[in-house]
Amino acid sequence: MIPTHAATLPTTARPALLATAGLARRRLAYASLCAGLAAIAAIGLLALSGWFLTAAALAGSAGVATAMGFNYLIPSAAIRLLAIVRTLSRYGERLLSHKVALEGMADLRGSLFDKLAAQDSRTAPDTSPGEASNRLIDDVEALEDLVIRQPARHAAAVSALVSLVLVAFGGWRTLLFLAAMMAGLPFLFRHISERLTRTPAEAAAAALGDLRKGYVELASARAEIAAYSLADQAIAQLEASASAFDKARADLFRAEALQGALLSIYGGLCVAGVLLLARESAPMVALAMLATASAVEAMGGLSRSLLRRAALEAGLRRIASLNALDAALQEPVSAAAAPLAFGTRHVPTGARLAITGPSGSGKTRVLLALAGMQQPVADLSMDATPLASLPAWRLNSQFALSPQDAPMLIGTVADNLRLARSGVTEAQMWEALKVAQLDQRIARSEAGLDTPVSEGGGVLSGGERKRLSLARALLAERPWLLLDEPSEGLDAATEAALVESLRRWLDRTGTGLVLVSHRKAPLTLCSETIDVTDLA
Amino acid sequence: MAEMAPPVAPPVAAPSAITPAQRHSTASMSSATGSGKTSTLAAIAGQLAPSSGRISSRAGTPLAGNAAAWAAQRPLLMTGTLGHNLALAAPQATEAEILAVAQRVGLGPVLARRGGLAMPIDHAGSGLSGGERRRIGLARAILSGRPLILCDEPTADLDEDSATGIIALLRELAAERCILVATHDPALIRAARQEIAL
Repeated sequence: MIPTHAATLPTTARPALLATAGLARRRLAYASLCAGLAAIAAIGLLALSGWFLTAAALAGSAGVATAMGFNYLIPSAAIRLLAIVRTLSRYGERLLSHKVALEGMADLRGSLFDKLAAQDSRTAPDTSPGEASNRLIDDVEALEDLVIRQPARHAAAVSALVSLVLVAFGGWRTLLFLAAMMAGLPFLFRHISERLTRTPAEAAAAALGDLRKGYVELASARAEIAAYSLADQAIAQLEASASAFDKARADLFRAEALQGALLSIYGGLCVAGVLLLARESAPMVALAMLATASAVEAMGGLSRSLLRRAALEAGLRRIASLNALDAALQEPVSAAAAPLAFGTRHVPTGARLAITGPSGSGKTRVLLALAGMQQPVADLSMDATPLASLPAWRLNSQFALSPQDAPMLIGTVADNLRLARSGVTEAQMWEALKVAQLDQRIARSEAGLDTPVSEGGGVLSGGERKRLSLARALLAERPWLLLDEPSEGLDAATEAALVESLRRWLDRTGTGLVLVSHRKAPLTLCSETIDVTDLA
Repeated sequence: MAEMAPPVAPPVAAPSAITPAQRHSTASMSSATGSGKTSTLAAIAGQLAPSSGRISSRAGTPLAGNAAAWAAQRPLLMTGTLGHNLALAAPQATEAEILAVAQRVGLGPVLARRGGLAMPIDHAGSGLSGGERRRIGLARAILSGRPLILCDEPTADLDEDSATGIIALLRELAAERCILVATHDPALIRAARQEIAL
């Protein structure tokens, strides 16, 4: 009955995926072995206890002579032994399966990340940061859970089979009856649980998403909410999705409880059926009944876990498609400078160009297109080839971008600077920080280059983070520097110093510049301007 | 209106007391980045305990919790109409009052384009530009009728025309309210009557 059920599950992606995940299959097999042993010990314990209790009671009631002849030492010792075996093998299972899953998934995440990083984000599907982090975090976690539970699934199957063997002590009729009942269970379970839990589970997920989004939006306006005492109204904004979430969760819990209750009733029916059909001696019937109870429980757990696996299938398929991507990560290298063209305007290497235009006219989009992060909307080309037909690695080798939001990775100042290219020395870091007018700030900090940085900047202010991002772009040593509002958030004196040192750096290195800024000072770096509205 | 000792300990030397003296005035607060302008605004609004110094009105009494209006960089938007959003801080305002303030902050073109005060707004502010959104925050602050308006970087990320419009509006408002602006924008600093460098 187990193979029939397994056939209903899509198994295409899974084995290959587990293999490429670098999982130690042998160790996982040991974990399954331990789990099987634990299951057998558990059933043996239950069945033997049932037999022992009944036999002892019968012996006791048959008179002193029979009771004296009843050997209770061997069954007691066996019960103790089984208990020890169960505990040890369960421990072994947990230890091995977690070790395999955790180590395997850590490796898988690393290799998936490499593959993602190697993609051309303009054309590759589903490589947006949100999508990618979903895959790296949620989908891989689902896979991890699956691996951890795999030995338990095997054990449940073993447990069901062993129970059937034990039930055979109750006679062939009980065996046939229970086999039929257990074969029917997965189908029944799947059917009932789909009907009961699918809708509330989907509703809960959707409501949680809404709630998160709404909360983040409100949290960013906390100053106003506090100033005008709008907390009640703000909470009322979330009320709808919060109550939808509560309701969906309540429905889901109720459905799960109902499912559990139905399983218990099913188990009761099986035990009653075995009792009615069994024709053997009382201790044997007791043994068969207890074995039945554990068989139904094992089968219920197995059904639940198979169902869960089916629900994870979409996530697994997503990981599999990601895993199938080409992993050839192009190490970005600096190439000889290439001339650019904006529409009909030709821009020679080493030129300094400002892109102008009103807010929202797409200036930033031009920079992102040059950096190979977005499809160009304007008519842009490099080396007389339209940007869209150039591979991302070629653009990477030409442009170093310091974007408007200056994203940072959790780590230290040095970690973030090392992202620029491989082989950056400390001396080069200090030099870049000096150009970016950040050297004194970092030198003042006790930890120096090891000053911690979080995604939001940590101890660095918005303007400091911006300059750290600039230093990183300088360190990349590409022929073109792309700067998006480099002096936003700076006071006038720092801005002036920054513009001056950038000018000297550009003069010295001969690097080209494409600048977007609505502030006057940085614009003085540029000898040419292009209005973005002329490009569309 | 508000007399303040600097509420945070700035790394640069600061005067021990800052006095935007007149009842109606503009003061701009500018400083090296990272010296705590936003925290100072939050402390004046009574949302943060100042790490040093004290905040009081000119009379020397503590500033009332409802003395300050807050014009945010990215104002709060709630699902509902534009009118409802403008009057969040002044639920008793009449439609005529709301309309007048909306026109005054330069929301006229949006109103004409999108169906007046009944224009539906979602919490994400779909269809509103950054400048329009900021004007909504200012209109809300004006409607609240509070004597002190705290503005956090009101011209950041705006193109020159929008920024000039906002500066002109703040200048006009300064005739009737006390306005305290945290900014790096030299044009805005020039427009203020008093500059406080933290």
